[in-house]
Amino acid sequence: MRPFRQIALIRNQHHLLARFWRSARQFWRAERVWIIGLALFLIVLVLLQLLVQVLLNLWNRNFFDALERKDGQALWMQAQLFVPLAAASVLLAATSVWGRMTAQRSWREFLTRHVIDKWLENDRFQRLNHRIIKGSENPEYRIVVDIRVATDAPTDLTLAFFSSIVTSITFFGVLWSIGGSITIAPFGWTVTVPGYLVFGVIIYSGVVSALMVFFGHYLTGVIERMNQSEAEFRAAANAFGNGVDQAAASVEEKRQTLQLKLQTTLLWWREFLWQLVRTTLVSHSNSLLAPVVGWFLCVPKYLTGAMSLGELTQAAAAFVVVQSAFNWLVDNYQRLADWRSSAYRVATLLIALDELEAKEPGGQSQSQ
Amino acid sequence: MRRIVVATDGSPGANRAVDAAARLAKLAGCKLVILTIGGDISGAALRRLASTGGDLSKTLETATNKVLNQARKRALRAGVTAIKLQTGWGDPAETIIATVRRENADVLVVGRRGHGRLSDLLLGSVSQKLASLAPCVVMVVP
Repeated sequence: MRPFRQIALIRNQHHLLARFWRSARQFWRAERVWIIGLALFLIVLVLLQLLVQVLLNLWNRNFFDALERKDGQALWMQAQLFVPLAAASVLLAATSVWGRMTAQRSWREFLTRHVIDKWLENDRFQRLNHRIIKGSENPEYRIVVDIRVATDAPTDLTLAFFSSIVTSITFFGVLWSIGGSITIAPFGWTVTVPGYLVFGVIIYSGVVSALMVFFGHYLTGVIERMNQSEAEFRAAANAFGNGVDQAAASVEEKRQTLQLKLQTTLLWWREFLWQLVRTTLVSHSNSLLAPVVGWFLCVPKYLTGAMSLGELTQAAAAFVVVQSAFNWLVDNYQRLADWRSSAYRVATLLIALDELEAKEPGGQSQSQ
Repeated sequence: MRRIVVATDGSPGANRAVDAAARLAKLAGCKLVILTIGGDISGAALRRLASTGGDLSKTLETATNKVLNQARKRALRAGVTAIKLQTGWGDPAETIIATVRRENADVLVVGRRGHGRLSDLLLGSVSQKLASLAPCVVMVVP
């Protein structure tokens, strides 16, 4: 029974996401020129941030090389060079915040206006009875909060994903050129591994990601359910407060309903807590280990004199950068789950409004 | 005596408490309020629900209904006819005392030990708390 139930669940989720995107993507059509311009601007910003990151990585190498040589003049030059690099990094970060949040605000505004229009048209808000159309409770909250979350996260997640890919590719190059090859002799066989730091970071990141998936593979599901139970609790409280749910007349029934909703919310919170504890074990261990693993992989070449102190620090820093970029999925587990649950709730409201629209004279079957 | 409240979690100890409360209610000819505290579900069960899309509220209600129906059958077998079933949520001791007050009960019947053995050892048992805090006669069934 379980596999069928899971397939049905996945199909339903795909259906909901498809409905959400059908309305959400209209923003990209309606505001095509403005939004393409903004998207290109954000992509250029990501590339510029990467350039500064590479330059800072190089600066790291030159600074430590000068330190190793005890070269005061070179150190002073590096110190002077750091100021414009740091300024550029700060400026780009601030501009990136402006760009991202402008895109998010515009998208939220568009989708919120679209849903409000759909909700108010032909007095649908009055006919939206959640007892008839299940899953459409508390539309006000969905319009105000869920649309914000559902339009915030895709912008951040997409940019972070793009940044992770270009960062990984760029710093693979750094690791390949600095690390070079290493010769090891396991069981009497002499093996030369070219670009061994690249293989090192891939293996290390693979292990960390596998551990994270193993320890936290329930996390997204639990967060979605927790958010859903929070929404249901809020809807139940609102219904009683607004006198909507007159059927549950007695105080005792109201108390029972609210306490049950509270209990489910608290239980999901408890499970969320344990999921976070488990994933924190991996993520915190990784934050401590990743720089050290980078250093340890470079130390053999440093000790043989094949690598300078500057190259050692540059390679170790590049190792951490690539490893962090590889962690995109793991770092964004919670954000993805929050986004999915909000997108589902917006979609269920839209589907409920579609159903009402379809019943109206001249109603469309494929609403936007 | 007008009303007896018995708390149950479906454990053997709680079943003995239900039997004792039912006999007492039958003898006194009073109403028996059977109370269970819902919300106890394992992490594994929650994770299963999260991955299958199961309904936690329904799962909790089903579990509490099962405990209450089992207790009602025992009470009916003992000959009690005036039975009220109640579900409480939250801290067991506080919820039981609140129910006793709300129902204006004369006697509260509880088992000495329920399912939560570890928490009993760490925090002190629910029955001990009830014996010292309940606003009525408390009968603890061994």
